[in-house]
Amino acid sequence: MTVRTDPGQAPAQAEAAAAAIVASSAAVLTILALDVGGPVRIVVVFGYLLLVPGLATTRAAGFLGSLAVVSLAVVLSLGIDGTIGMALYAAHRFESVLATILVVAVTLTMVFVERVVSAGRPLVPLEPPDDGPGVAPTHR
Amino acid sequence: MRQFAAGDRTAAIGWLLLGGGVAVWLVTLRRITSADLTDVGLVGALPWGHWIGVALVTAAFAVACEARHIPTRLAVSCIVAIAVILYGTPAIIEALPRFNTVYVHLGLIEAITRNERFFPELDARFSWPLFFAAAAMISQLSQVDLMAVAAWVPLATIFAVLPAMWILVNAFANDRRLSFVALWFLLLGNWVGQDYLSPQGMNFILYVWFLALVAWFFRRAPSSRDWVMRVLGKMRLPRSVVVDLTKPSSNVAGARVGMLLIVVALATISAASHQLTPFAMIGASLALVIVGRTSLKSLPILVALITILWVSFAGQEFLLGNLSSLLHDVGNAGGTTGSAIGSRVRGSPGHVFVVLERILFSGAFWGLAFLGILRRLRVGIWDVAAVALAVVPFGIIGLQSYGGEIFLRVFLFALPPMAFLAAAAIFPVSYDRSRLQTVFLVLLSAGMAVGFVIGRYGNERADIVEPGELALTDQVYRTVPQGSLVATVDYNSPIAYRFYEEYHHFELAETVEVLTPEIVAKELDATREGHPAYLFLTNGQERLEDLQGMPSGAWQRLTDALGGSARFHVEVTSDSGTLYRYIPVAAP
Repeated sequence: MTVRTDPGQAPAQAEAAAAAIVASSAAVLTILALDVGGPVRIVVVFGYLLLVPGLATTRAAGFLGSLAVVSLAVVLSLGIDGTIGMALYAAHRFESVLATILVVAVTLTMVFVERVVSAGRPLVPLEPPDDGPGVAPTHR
Repeated sequence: MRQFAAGDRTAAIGWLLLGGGVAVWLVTLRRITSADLTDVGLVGALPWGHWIGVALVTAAFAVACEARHIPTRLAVSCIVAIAVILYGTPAIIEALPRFNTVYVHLGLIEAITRNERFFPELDARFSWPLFFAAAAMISQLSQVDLMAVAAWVPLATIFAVLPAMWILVNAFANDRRLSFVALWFLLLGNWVGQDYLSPQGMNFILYVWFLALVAWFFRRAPSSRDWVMRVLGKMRLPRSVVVDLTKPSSNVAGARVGMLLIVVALATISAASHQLTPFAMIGASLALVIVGRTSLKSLPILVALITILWVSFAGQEFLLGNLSSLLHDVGNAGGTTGSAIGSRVRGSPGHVFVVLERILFSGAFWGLAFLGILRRLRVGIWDVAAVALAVVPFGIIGLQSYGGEIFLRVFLFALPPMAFLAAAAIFPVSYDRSRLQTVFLVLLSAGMAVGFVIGRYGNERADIVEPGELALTDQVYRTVPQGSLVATVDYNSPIAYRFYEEYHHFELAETVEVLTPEIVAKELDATREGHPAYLFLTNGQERLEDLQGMPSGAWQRLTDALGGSARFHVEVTSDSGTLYRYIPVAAP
């Protein structure tokens, strides 16, 4: 299996990012399966649903994590959560564990796409390059 | 070496000003109630420290912009600080999330979580349910109390918009000073307040990301063969200069495919969550294609297809029920303008001042953007893409009145490119920089900050929701049997924040000054279809009626008359309002 590496990001860091997404997915599944309540559930599950599916998607699309990516990841996460929620509510089949499994499945699919399907293609930054001094050569 | 020292000193002054401004703002904050508010809203209730804080943060930002090598961390920190001050203050000083519509949306979300289904027959918003489904699912799975986070949604929304705006501005110019000022003006100009817990708030983020990705990642360099360039070339304008824009990383093979999929995903999420934004996306992408500034020539057709598919599938029920009223607005730009502006200039003197200020603020902001176009033209830069994106939202006026709110939406959709062009009015290019421009930036920012607070929080006397009103609403839920009709004199109460689908909500048609117990009874009889009926009057409704010009004493006359009427029985009462049970006349 070819493992993909990011420019400016060591292979170990790329592995760590994927591992963090997988680990957080496992944590969320565990919390829902054991029906853990309280602040732990609020912080972990709320944070996960708001960020991680979209973050995995932006990485699968080929973009490095950054502050700008976080913003894009949030709207994509809402889109993924909303699509799964719409399907389950419309079908009158909503169950917390099922919904969580579907979100995690989409997230892990994105990790698979990033690590395996697109392996070898480097991740690139989303933002425009920083021009350093701040006085960009606007004209020539 | 001397230059570095001077730069460090400048940055140190900026950090001191910024720290001082935030500290003064924080320590002078205090809780407010509706009693602190007047008909001009929050502007009179804010402590002096708020204005000192805004002034010092503005000064710090000006220091950053004045520097030859703009200190990025200082500029970004100033932008974050002004966002927190302008968008976060109500969340800190008010006890509950502001704005009635937030409570309606909380009610829609609560109805979904309790029933685990949608109700498209009750509300058109259920035909575009993605936002509500996402919120319902997140609150169900994480057990987060959405009421607790709702007050912070405007700040979170604007923070999510800023990175997209940064990328969008880079599609127009490679100039960090101009980019930072554009972000600054986006914050100071966004008085329309559509960023609360709502589909349109989420869609504003989607829209700016859509613009940013299409205009930046799929940018097409201008060519002398483009019709726009040929037309501009024939005009007596300064000779065009070549703007050396940075190149997106999407040139890396494969990244364009990923980004294209994300652009399509954004359009699809929008089509499933909001009625209007997909049309703005079609217009914006079409405008960029027409002026030759994007390589995605088929994108408008694709977004249109996605939108039509959604409307004909999920929005069919709404479309068939409202087709005649929707078609009535098409081409009726004059009527739409009248309903959006003319009908709003009424009410108490304070409220009329606020409405006029909003019109003046919007006009001045657009005027500043026009000045920016001229100043950039003067140095030979034609911002065709920015101008196209700024102008195209105005086309929606000819299509829809959107319940009289269309100008708010037009202002919002045009805001990102307008903010860029307004920034260009002060700093058209980096090399052209003087102390006078910085002074102008400070003065303009100070004026805009005041104008922003008046425009955005001008209805705060009505928009504030007090704990007593919410407690009374909870009592109403315990008292009123499900299936009953609950009437109010206007929309300004949190009555729909729970059990949305269990009650028939109804606003009385007549205004307070003409209402009598007999007229109320007549309206209830005509609507209740045999169900029990209640009249719910709250302080929030009274405050909104006051803003809208209710004659003095009219409210008291109505409540006195209801109290003395045999057809209305007081079921629940508190300092925040009263619930009356309607006693119908027995059939002979």
